[in-house]
Amino acid sequence: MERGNLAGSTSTLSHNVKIEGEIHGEESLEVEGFIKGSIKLGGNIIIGKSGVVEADVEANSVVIHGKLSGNVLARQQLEIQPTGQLIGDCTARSINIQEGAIFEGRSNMIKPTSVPRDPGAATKSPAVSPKNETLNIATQTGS
Amino acid sequence: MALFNKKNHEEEEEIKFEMPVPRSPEVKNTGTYLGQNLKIRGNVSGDGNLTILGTFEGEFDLKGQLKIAQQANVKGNVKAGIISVNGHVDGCLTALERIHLDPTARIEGQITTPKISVMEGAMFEGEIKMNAAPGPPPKPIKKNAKSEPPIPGHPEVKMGIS
Repeated sequence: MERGNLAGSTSTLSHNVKIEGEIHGEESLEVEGFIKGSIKLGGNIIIGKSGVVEADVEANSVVIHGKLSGNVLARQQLEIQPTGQLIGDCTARSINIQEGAIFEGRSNMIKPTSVPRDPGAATKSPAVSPKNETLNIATQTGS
Repeated sequence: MALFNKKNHEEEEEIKFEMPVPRSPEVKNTGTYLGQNLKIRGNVSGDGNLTILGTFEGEFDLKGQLKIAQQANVKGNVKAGIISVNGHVDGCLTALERIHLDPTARIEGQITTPKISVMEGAMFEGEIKMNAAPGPPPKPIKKNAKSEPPIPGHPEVKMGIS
């Protein structure tokens, strides 16, 4: 696990503070407040119990104790704790959803690179291919 | 087994968050802490205290205390109860209570505050307005000014009417 090597320090957003806009940087973030916009971090993000995030989130690990509406890209792990709520699509290398958590959306896994299971898929870009594949299958079976 | 895993995770997270903040204990007490590597564009509002070390572009509207640390770079309008500046600000600073400029402060823009203190070494290019902020400061001066009889021949006296 690469959890130990963090990019930069940890920022904290307390529960009475609201940010509307873009946040990015090589940092980890702990959110107890409200964020609307977009978040792109080199570190991890933890959304605390009182945290509400309405944004697309990209980070190494994403841990949700509070509410997140938006799409998530977790380069490592996505964790939804029992009090957590995720409304939106997620892409992660591994997911951990605890009992009691709410998750509404689609889940895509980041596969370990250079393991093309089917030779046709290798030519496509890996991020897009899952959707395309499902679509293709659907149309094929339909016709 | 699952429970055990979960506990491990939580412990890991906690340790992780205590470690990488080698700042002064002051920082931990203040509510919100925006680190050096964080870039924010947008609006920040709320009523807590906030310390910023990173780059910010946009508008601050806080009721509490705002501390702009030495490495921080703020561009835009800043409004807070108390503002203390160590870093670089390009824009309007408005404090309801007071503003403090430390020796490392660099400010370009306008300052509006009822009270100000500036340390030697601070750089400030711009304008200061010190008419009491529209909000809370309890200033008896205004009342006195009103109760004074208008001086004949001084048209400027009718401040309050406009």
